[in-house]
Amino acid sequence: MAKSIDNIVHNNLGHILTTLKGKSFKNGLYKLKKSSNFYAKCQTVDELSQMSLAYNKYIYGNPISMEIEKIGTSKSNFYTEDLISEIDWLILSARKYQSEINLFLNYKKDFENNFLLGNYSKALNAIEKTEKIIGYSIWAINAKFLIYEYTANQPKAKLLQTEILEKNKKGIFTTSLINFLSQRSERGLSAYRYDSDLKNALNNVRSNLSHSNKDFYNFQLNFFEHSVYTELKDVLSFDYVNPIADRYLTFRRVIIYCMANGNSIEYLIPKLKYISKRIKDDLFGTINLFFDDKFNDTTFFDINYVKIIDLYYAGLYEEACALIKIQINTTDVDFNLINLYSRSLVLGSKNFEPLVANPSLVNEISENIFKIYKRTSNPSEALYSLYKTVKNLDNFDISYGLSTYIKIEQNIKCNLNYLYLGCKKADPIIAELFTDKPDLLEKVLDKIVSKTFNSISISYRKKLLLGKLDEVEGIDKTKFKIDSAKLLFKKDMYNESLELWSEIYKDSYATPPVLEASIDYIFRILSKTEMYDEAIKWYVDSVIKNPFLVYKTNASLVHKALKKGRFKIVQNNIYLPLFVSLVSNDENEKSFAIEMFCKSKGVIFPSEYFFHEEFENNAYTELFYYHSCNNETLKYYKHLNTTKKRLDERINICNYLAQYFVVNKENYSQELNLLTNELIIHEGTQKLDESKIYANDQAILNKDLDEYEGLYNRYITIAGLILKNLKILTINKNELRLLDKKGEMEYTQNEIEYSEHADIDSFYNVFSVIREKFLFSKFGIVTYLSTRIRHGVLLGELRPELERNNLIFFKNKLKDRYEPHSFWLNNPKLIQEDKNRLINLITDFSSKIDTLINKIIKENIQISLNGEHERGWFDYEFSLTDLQSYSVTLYYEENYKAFCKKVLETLWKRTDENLEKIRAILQDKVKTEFVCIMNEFDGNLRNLLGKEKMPEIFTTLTTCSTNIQNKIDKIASWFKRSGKTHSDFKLEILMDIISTNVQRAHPLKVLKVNSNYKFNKVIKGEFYEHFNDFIRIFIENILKHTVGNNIKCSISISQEKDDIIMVFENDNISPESEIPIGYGGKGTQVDGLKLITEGKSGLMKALKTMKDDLRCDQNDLFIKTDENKFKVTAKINFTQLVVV
Amino acid sequence: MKRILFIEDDQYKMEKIKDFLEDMFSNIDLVIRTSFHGGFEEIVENHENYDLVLLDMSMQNYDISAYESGGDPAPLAGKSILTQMYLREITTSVVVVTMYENFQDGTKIKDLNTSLKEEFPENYKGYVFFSHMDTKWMNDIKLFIEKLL
Repeated sequence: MAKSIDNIVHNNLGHILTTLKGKSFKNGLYKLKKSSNFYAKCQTVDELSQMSLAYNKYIYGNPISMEIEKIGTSKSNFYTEDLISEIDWLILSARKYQSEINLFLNYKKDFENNFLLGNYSKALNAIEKTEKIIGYSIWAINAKFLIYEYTANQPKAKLLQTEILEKNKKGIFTTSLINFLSQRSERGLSAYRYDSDLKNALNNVRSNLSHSNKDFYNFQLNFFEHSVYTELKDVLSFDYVNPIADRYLTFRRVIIYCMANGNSIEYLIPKLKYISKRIKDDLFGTINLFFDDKFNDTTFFDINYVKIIDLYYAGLYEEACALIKIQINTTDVDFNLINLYSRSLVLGSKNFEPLVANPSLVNEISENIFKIYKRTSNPSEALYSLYKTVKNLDNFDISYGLSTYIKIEQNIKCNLNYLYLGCKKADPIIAELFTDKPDLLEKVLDKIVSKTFNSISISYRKKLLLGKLDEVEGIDKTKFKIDSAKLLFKKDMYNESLELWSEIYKDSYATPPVLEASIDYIFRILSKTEMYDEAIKWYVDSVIKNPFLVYKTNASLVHKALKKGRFKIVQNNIYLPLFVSLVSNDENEKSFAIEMFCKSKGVIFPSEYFFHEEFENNAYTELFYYHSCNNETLKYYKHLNTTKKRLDERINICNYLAQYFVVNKENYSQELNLLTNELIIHEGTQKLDESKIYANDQAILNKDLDEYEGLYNRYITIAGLILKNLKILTINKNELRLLDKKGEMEYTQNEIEYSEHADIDSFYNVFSVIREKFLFSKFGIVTYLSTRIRHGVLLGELRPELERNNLIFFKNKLKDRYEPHSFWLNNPKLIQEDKNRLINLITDFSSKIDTLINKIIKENIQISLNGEHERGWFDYEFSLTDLQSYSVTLYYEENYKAFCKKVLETLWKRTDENLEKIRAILQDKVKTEFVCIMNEFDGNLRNLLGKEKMPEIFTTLTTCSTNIQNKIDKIASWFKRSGKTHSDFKLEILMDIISTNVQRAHPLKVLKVNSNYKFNKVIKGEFYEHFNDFIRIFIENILKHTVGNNIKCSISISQEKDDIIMVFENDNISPESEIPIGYGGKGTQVDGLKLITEGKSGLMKALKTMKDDLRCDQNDLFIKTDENKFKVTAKINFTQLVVV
Repeated sequence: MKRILFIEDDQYKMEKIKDFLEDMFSNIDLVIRTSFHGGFEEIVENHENYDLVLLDMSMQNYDISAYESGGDPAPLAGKSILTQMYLREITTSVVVVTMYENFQDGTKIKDLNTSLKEEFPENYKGYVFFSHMDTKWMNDIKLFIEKLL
């Protein structure tokens, strides 16, 4: 064997040295890389190194960079076609630099432990040590970003990024990786935005190695978001340019990926054994346990760790927690221990206690996991927080466990093997890596026992995995019951399993995880056995007890079965609408289920059921009215066929809820306010509103933008630095440096540009998100534009004018030509030759008209953005100067919400400008274009027919031309902001609408208004909502703060010079009123200033509206009390408000 | 006489199709509804009166009147009507007549066609792509009517 290798080495060397003389040395090394005998490769490169150190750079790249400039600058790799050659080639470097890698792994571990424990200066120290020994690395830069972010030193992270971008101009991937790593490290990361930014950057990849480039960047920057990597060979091959520390980290992740996915295992095992003899990498502990009989690492076979597992299995949660605390503080931070700790606290019915004394990420992670298990709040919030954290910690070893855990809790399909492979201790769950190989798992568990002690948890686990469960002494009784019930379910023994689960569920000591599992399995059993009535009752009852305990329960099978049976396979009782509204996304199904239920009770509307004889005020009723009969579902309710009917119904329901379910009264009152406002606006909106442009900014603000606060924070950090005159560099549009293949062994790469306006770029990032939502979200302009104008409506206005008069033909799509109309073909007034010429003229005219209309629809009534639809009239491109100006002015906004509002205002301003421009284009250019085509047609017809032959055609054409011009004017009127366009109005009418609607929100009170309106001027429609806003506050106050249910008040409106004087007066102010009135009976004086400024009365807001929105600083409010009367006088200058 | 319920909110499209049908078929009685709710109520209440439904896909939620601006646009109102028919076991045949090649949620008409066939095999018979500029839709509607009535 040895001789044979010697021969191969000899041949290898001979070939390489020959090629050296022939100046194609790289070709020789390329062949060596592709050769199959690993040991011969090792020996060959060793001998080459001995011959001359100059060869090293070709074999090992640039493994150690002591200067930032040199990271990632090696260019001497050669592309191969197989993963095995790439792994071999990496191992050659790893064996050469094994001592450096060993040291690096130790410092990395040191860094991770200290970072997670909140010891940031020690963590920073560990990074600096790696830099001294092994040079700069992308890993170290990322680690520093994290330290700066977590020590609230974000500016330093941005300055470090700038330094690298400035110095490292030649690194092939360095700057692109750093650009994204800097974003990924942000503490307030907008995690989903990060995912989409990377995806977008990679979508633009155009190269003959596009899959390779995509896999490389995804692997390095967002590993856990992708389940399949097809170009692992290139992930390794591209990484060759980077320092050995980074290359080794990529290598170990490739190994974990292959093991988790069952790729190339036979090949990898011997290589791992080889590398494990040289490098002590505890991430390979699990693999070694399975495949290396001699594996005997005492750190892996940790007796204390197994003791903790035993304590947990024994139900001794307090003792387990105490030991975990010691273990975390004294050995490595381990995800399974954090998880076990949080779970033990919940199973032991304890409150959360921090794992370590320092404020630290370990505490944050464990607290989030605790919240998830505890299920006292919506787990999705804690899960998103963990999702952001695991992005930050992507290259930490705990990320394997943490990312898998998140997916499990989110019910997302995931590869559990990452969890097992990420174990760095002999945890019995590891055995599940090969559940399909019982011999192997038994052997592994026995080995853990032999290396630790005769653990009860391992013995129990073994029985469980082999499906031969019987009681093991010392194991917690509940745990045994749960596992037995699961096993029975797995064996399709549903009755037995149900019995056991019911017993577990009824146990008065059952903790949230136990209850959750019981609920889930009982539901599954009822579903499997098609006991649908029982299943939906069980589900709904569980939701009522604690909605978060069914978070993971998958009800889709039952829902599907019910839908298949048109909801008639279960009893028509309250459980049906409740279940459907809880599990279905289809409002039609939900409204149908409500309708069925109402019908069964002999009522038409849900609100009529309030008065039904069987009616009960209980949690089911509250859930039914609040959740099932919500405003969105009612849009689909058969009997509510107008906006007003629907809003009235929901207002009735909310009034009822606010009255009888006082615990959530605040929520119901808030919704009532929103509904009442909607109704007021609906009733006050111009009835025949022609405008078709609308976006619901309130919904965008409340529902679409929360996720992006991290982008705003980044902008504030960067803009703050630039205001201090510090230079900050970023990469233009997240552009990525890509490799392209040139010939067999050569690569080329693109250049990327740096931005000199990092503040504007970071501003643009958050601005563009808001703009995208404003335009394209379901509340955005495009939804309305598309439905109301683009599709057919515009065409349907213009073309029929000509069709009616046979002046335009239809196109036969199959023949791709216009078909002459029979009106002309059969026209007796024309000879055949004239007919033919006329048909040609109409065909040409048809084509020109259709082309023009098509152009307007497909090119012009479009959003012009990001280079798309450059001729679109809705221009939302902003110039650098505009962005620069906004980035400076909006920097000073108070917070993210205020910033978003300002950006939306800016977008509306641009929309108004666009609309004005569009109206002008339509009325001027478009109209002219139509007229030109028609005039040309008219001229051609006259040439053909003369004045005498068919005079009526010219009359018709002229009429059509006039009508089309009128239609274009009509179309132009569509391009106005909708929902903002109120008719001009009189104050007395508005006062009545508001009084009526406010009254609706207080159904138990009766408001009698003694009115005296002496102001006859008409107010401009644009001020409708502002008057509505503040008048509503005054009337609300009257209803809220007056004693008794029959409330009398006086409202007068009069004119004094250029002012409107509005007086609201009422008596019987409640002594319990929250507004700051020094109530003391007769003669009490009100503290007007305090009343206005204190906020509870809303008067401050009213005054602000009067001054700001009604555009006069002199507008004012006067408060006065006389005995127990309360009087508010509003003085408003009307010079700019009234229609002249 | 065969009765067709035509649910369509675009006046000109509706007029063109109506004119075409009246020209082409002498034995057709056409009833028109112009919103999701209008169409939904009519088919639920009087489905036994109809032999076929011609159904637009995107329309306003409510009938427009002096007191009603139509509510929010319902981009897949036609699908909602099909769902309501399915749930109520109304088996009248439905042909979708749309001017959309792509819907606002990104769904392409061909994909929607596939999913409607799967979800509503009893009702959904296919779709006609309507365009003001060509006449192919006429032939397509004609074929459906000849086949279904």
